[in-house]
Amino acid sequence: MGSRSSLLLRDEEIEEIRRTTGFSHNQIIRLYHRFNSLDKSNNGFLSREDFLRIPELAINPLGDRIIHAFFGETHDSTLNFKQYVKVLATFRPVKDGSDNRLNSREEKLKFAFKMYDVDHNDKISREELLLVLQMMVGANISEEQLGCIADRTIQEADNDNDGLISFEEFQKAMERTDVEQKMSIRFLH
Amino acid sequence: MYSRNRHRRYPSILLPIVLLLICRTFVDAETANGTGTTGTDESATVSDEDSSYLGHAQGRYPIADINWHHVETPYMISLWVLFASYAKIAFHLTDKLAKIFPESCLLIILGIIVGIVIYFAAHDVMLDYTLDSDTFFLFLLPPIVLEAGYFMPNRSFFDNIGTILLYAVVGTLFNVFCIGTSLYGIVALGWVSVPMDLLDCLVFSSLISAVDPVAVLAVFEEVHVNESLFILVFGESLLNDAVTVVLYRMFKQFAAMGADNILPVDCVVGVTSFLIIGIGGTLIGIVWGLLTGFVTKFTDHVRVIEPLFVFVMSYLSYLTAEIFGFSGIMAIVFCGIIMKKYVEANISQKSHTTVKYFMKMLTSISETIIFMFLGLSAVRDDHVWDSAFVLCTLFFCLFYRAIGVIILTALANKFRAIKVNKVEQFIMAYGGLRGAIAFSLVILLEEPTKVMAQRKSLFLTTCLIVIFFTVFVQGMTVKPLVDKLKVKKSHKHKPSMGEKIFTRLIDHAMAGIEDVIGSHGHNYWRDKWEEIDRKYLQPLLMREKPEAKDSQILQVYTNLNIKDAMEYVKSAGSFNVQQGSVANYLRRNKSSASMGGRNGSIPYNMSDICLDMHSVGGAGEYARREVDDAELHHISNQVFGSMHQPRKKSCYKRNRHNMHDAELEKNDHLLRRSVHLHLRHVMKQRKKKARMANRPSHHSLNSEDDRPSRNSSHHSHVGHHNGHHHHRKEHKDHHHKGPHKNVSFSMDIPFPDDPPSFHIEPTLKEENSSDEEGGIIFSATPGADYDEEMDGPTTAKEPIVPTAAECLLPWKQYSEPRLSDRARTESYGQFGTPVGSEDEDNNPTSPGKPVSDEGGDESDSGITFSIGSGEASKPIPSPKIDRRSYGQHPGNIEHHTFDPVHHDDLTYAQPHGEIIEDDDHAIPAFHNYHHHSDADADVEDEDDDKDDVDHRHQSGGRKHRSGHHHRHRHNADEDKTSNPDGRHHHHRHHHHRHHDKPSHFQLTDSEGEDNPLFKKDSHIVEMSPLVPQRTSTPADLDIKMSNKDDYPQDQLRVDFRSSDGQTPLNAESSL
Repeated sequence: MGSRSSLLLRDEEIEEIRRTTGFSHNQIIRLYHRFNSLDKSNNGFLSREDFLRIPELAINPLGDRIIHAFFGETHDSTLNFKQYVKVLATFRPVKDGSDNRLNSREEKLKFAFKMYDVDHNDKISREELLLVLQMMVGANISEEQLGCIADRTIQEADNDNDGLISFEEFQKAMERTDVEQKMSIRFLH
Repeated sequence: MYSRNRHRRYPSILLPIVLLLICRTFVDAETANGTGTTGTDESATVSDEDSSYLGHAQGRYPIADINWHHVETPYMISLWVLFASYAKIAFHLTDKLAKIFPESCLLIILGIIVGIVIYFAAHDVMLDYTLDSDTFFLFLLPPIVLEAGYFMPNRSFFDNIGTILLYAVVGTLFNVFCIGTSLYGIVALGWVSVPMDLLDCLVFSSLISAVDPVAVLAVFEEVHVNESLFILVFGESLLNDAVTVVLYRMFKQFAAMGADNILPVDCVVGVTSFLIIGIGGTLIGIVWGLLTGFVTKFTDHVRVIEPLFVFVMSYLSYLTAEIFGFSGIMAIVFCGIIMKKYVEANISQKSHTTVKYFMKMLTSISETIIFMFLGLSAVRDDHVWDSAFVLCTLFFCLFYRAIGVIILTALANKFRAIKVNKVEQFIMAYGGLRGAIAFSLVILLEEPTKVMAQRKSLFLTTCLIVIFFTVFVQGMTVKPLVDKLKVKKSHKHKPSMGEKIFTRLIDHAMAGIEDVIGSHGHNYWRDKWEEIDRKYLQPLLMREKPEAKDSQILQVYTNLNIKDAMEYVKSAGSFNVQQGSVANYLRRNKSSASMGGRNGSIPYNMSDICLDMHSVGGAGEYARREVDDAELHHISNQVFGSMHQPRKKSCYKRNRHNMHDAELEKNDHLLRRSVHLHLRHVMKQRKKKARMANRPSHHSLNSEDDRPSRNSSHHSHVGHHNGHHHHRKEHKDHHHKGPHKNVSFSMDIPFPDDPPSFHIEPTLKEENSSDEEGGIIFSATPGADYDEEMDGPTTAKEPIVPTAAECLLPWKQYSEPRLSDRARTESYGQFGTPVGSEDEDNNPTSPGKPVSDEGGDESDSGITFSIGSGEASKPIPSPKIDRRSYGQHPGNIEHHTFDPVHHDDLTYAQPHGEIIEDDDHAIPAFHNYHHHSDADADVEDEDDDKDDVDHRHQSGGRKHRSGHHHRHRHNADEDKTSNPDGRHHHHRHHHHRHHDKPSHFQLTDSEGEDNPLFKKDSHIVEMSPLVPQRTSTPADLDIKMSNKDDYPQDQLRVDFRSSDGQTPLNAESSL
């Protein structure tokens, strides 16, 4: 009970989050409710298990990686509300003229990049790509086939010929894609 | 009723026009006679009289008759289509014109010009001569809308569906009521000369408010705005049809009933009917779409009519919706959207192309005709001009459109992640073009009284002015405006592999994030839909259930490969015969290194495969080619074989309703690119080495003898056959470990004058392919089956005793200790089987008798192949030699007799020295005949007329199939191919590897130490493909197999000797 009450957001906290993330007051409250409902153990932190408990996420082929990317920056195994909101702020729609850096194209892409980069070395290796491919494409396609695809992908993106995709190369590969649109979510007010 | 009558007259109406345009004299006669009556009637009368005169007055059978009426309708239609098409060509001849004007404008202008010509030439028919609304709605509109639906950018359409619906429904309603009441306002003010009440105004406004999909498409296709903006405008124009239809009908009905009789319930019914019309149309479309998908699931034997289903069934969805008064446009749009995915998965690539082009063609011609007729229809007598009404309507249309867009965008932006910005709003408002639908609806207005006729004429005039204004002024300026305002343009491009994968990842990620925050946005619904689609719809509607969860990625990969292959062919010339085989060609390609991937680009361990192509000298030019082919083919097959899921065995019956698209089908393309890239790379490497080594090659071959025997006109597909299966089985147990003792065995068997041909029944019979013409399916049966088949002969066979030489064989050495006696016997027995079966079963294919004779009913392509052992090939003597050459390693040699393949005037014998990687699981997919690369086959897939050989390989219960279309020439003397003279003997080595311990048998080997691609324990397999010969000089071929130490490193020794054994020819060459 005590811990529960300490979780309640204070106005100054909300204000701080609002400033850093660009979410509106209401959105933060809403996200906070969601955060609490995910936090089954009520300790103010989300663990990976909490995420995996979300049924849709559990069946998402890349659910694991999404969680991985969520936890990307914090090297501990839990996520507090501020971190949670900060990650989600990545997916705020980009508004013209807004200077919030959290939801920039680069940040959005970084999230996607982190989903590949399991070992946090800021490079996507063939194996990492292959793993993600297997998750997405499924087990029925032989590894060789997927390997070809992975190779081709790396070949396309790999400008410095190191056999790895760096974040810069990743950005370049995606430069024709409307990332701002694809990686934006409308947060309810 | 009205239009039905008109419809019947429609073609006849056109008659004078065409006579004007096409047949001057006919027209003259007609116009001369035609005073007082319409040209139509006159011409009809004239020709009637003509024919009746000819027919009756003389009472004789006329030599020639003018049967104009017989062909009139289709003739006129065809001429119009032709004329419209010419117009289109003409427009695009001048770039300048096309740059300033959208095509629609030019077509309207052309229509007006033609209309004026007709107006003065045949004034009387002018009134009848307009865009016919029945024709328009039943024939001209559906293709356009179908195309719109079929090629709808689904993703952005459904991402924006909310906004689109908002514009389409609320926006149109808003426009209708605002324009209607405003018009009534000016009528009430007394500015308009023609009397009308509110309902009349509403009827008119309901037809004039709707944005027209045809006009929008015509203009926006040339203005490449970004996809979401395009889909907002275009989607609205499609989906507002339901609203337009409902409002138009409702107000028309109300107007007919009279304002006083309208009860509130009618309005309620109106609203309800809107829902029904819209949703009903959508549902009908979806049902027909799914049905189409389902039907195409079963069309794999009637490929030619596949496109028909797409067109007919979608057209039926339109008509079905029209029956119930639903929105046909929505029906056909959704039909197109829904069916596309499944249809494309089911139909062949060719059908797909057909669908695409036919659809585009229909659309294009429909559009052309529509705009031309709009222009034509403008030239008429019954215009009623009322400046106030016309100008006000125009103003209201523009004004309310703008207002509507602004209000609705403000509303929509509240719910959109990506807001529609000001510039886009402007373009949306500006893009509200009106078109032929409005015009056709005006035409459909009834005109029972004079006032109503006058009103209708006013509406017609106004409508045309609005259409022309929007199409001309807005249509022409929208492009400069888009440029000026820097509207985000669309970059249409095919996604690269990386993009596709990353985008798909993002899709999943966004769905996941939405799950995390617990809101169900469109990402969530898309994810849900994909799941439903994957779980239920795809298994139900697709012939082959996609193996991958994400077929898009594979699809992109396939497409990229195809593209690469095409580009490669384009940039590097064709893989044509003159340049040698593909392998040869690739090897020559200097740029290959840069294109070649890393080693990793082929997961299959290519470095184990030696791609050495020894030049066998002048003579070798040919032989090398053979080797190349064999190798290339083999390697690609190995790679493919290991990658491809075996395909379902299906018998290809060839008839004209059954087009082969084997090589076009999806999986066949997959991965080809990598293979070829790698091949190039490897070959390049080899070449380099060879150059560095710079060793003179030893050619001791007479070039005369090595030419393909052009005269012997038999082409053969050497079948892979069961033969190697038992070998496989046997050799599972044989492991090669490390370098072996040098072993060399050579088979110097002079062929007797009448060499027996060993023949193994092609499995075609099993394939039930007696009705195949030329297509032969070789399928290797799984080992188990084989055992059964062969057991009898095996046991009957006399035991083969290993000879001393045999013991030298490395595989023997290593495997023997581990082999039980029984196993050995078994393997021998298996090996001996073909022989035994031939000997004992008294196989009808006696030596010298062509296999093709026997199998002649099955194949006119004359397949001769034989797989045999030395004993068989040499019925009599020198068992010792036989032992050495065959008995030792029974499974490794297949003796094929085969005939040169005629290909593009060149005759090749196709040897197949192929390395079989004989893993337990690997598919020894090898194609005996591979002249084209697979990609190449793609390019010239037209030539699949007759000899379509479907090589099927089936092994270990798995089947591998790849269809190749090869073109072959048959010479007249095909039958003679049985003649031993025309036959080439071909030895095939199958190297069997255990996957744990690959023994690196290489076709050839050179500089193995240096080249990482070669392993130390490589054996030199010398393949002397049967040297091509003139018919008179058949050649035999020696196979030397040795460890490389045995031979001077990189030397390939090929012994050629003519079949009579008299003139041994030695070719030794090296890299």
